[in-house]
Amino acid sequence: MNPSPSTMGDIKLTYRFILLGIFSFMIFNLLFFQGTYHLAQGIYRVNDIWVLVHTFILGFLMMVVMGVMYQLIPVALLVSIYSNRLSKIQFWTYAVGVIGLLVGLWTVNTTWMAFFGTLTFTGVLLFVLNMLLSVKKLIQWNAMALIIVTAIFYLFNTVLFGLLLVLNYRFAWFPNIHDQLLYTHILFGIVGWLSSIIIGFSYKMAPMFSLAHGYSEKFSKWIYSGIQLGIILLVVGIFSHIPFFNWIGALFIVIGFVLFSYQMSEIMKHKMKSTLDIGFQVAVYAVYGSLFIIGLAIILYMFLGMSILLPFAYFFIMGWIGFSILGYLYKIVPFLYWTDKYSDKVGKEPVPMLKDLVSEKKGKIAFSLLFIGLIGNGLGIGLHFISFIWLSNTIYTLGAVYYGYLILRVFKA
Amino acid sequence: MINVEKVREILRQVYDPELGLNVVDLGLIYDIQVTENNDVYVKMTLTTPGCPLHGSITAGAESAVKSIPDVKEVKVDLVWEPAWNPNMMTEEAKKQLGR
Repeated sequence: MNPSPSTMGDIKLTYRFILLGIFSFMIFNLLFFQGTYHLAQGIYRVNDIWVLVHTFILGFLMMVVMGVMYQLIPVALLVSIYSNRLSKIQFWTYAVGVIGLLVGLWTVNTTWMAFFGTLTFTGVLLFVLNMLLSVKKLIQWNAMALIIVTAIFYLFNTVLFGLLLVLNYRFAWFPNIHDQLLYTHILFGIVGWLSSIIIGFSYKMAPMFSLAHGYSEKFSKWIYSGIQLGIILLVVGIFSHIPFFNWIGALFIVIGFVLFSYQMSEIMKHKMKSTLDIGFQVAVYAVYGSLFIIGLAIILYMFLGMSILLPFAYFFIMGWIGFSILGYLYKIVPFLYWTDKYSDKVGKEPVPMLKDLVSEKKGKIAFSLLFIGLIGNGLGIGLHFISFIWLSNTIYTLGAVYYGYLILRVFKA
Repeated sequence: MINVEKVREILRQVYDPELGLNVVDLGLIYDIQVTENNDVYVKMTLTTPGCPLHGSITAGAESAVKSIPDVKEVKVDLVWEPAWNPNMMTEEAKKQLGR
């Protein structure tokens, strides 16, 4: 059966998600200065770090990913979005929930945390529902579809465990397993949801943006199985306190990442475009970077033990996940805007090309600043060097502001 | 007088905005037929199924052909068999992509 076009999600709603996401990214950079002291001391169980992490993950990453998924799911899986009305309700529920939750975390107000945490959970639940009802119409399952649906499953579990954490914080229902809930929440969110959704959509976007054909996808099931098995074994390890499960689980996840990097290199070998756009280049480097981060973490762990946890977490979240999203977003926003504004003018009048909507040269400057800032921040955290973090985060913030400006400029084209 | 070449020429004005190449040089046009009544049939594909630019490129091809004076009915069929591959591009298009 021939794949047929599908109804896209509400484009204006996607813009709202992206704009709020970019705004959160700016706030995150300001908050980072405030959290410098604790980060440099290796202290992360404090409210300003919780606010920092959740502003980045819930406010920026999740906001952008959810907004873009309303457009990408019809494209990647050839299904229509189940309900655009539900998407709107979901946006407001989630946005209000996240803002309230961040205020609750900031003020250490457990009632706010519980109430707005529940609202955030409801917002995500509505998103999951809308996605699953959309995917229900899927005709042909493939590796990408399986990874995306599994990632959505982990998204649900991530917020469920997050909700259990804040409710436990408020009502002390499970005082003995608070840490286990926290580690599982982090594992599900970082690996099960965000890493997997990037991997899943890369199966579509990487060949599309590089015009690659004729490459093999023979390792796709191993990538999927490695990561899934790794997550399950790690959860067993977290709850049983048996280190063997942690080691073997981590090993399987590493195998999944190694194979995914190989998959990306296969796609790159078969690309027709000799020069890739900067946004996509960044996303590709983020994949190889993830391997470097993991490899380096393993080596350093042997010498330094758990002290590498915080800089590793920083590089993994901000480097691999953050740069993947920032890179793809730099490609996707012009795509969405062009489709919205010019698609019905093709063949009738001259229309701009996508490269006319966003500057490659300026993009390179923004990404360079972000990259220098990223390395500096990670090193500053690892070496407990406060003034160094101040300096590098200033560079990162400059890059972030410039990046945000370039994205917003697309809407003025 | 409308003929296949004239239709092909007008389709060169329809671009894939991501690649900056027109649909003819990209090798996306599989067949063009022009009847005695000046009805035009175009069979085309896209570089990948589920391309987000699906609607705009096919509708753009239809609009471009309709803009030819005296054309009556225009039908654009989007097909996925045979699947597009890079060898279908013209040498000029490959060159523009840096190949």
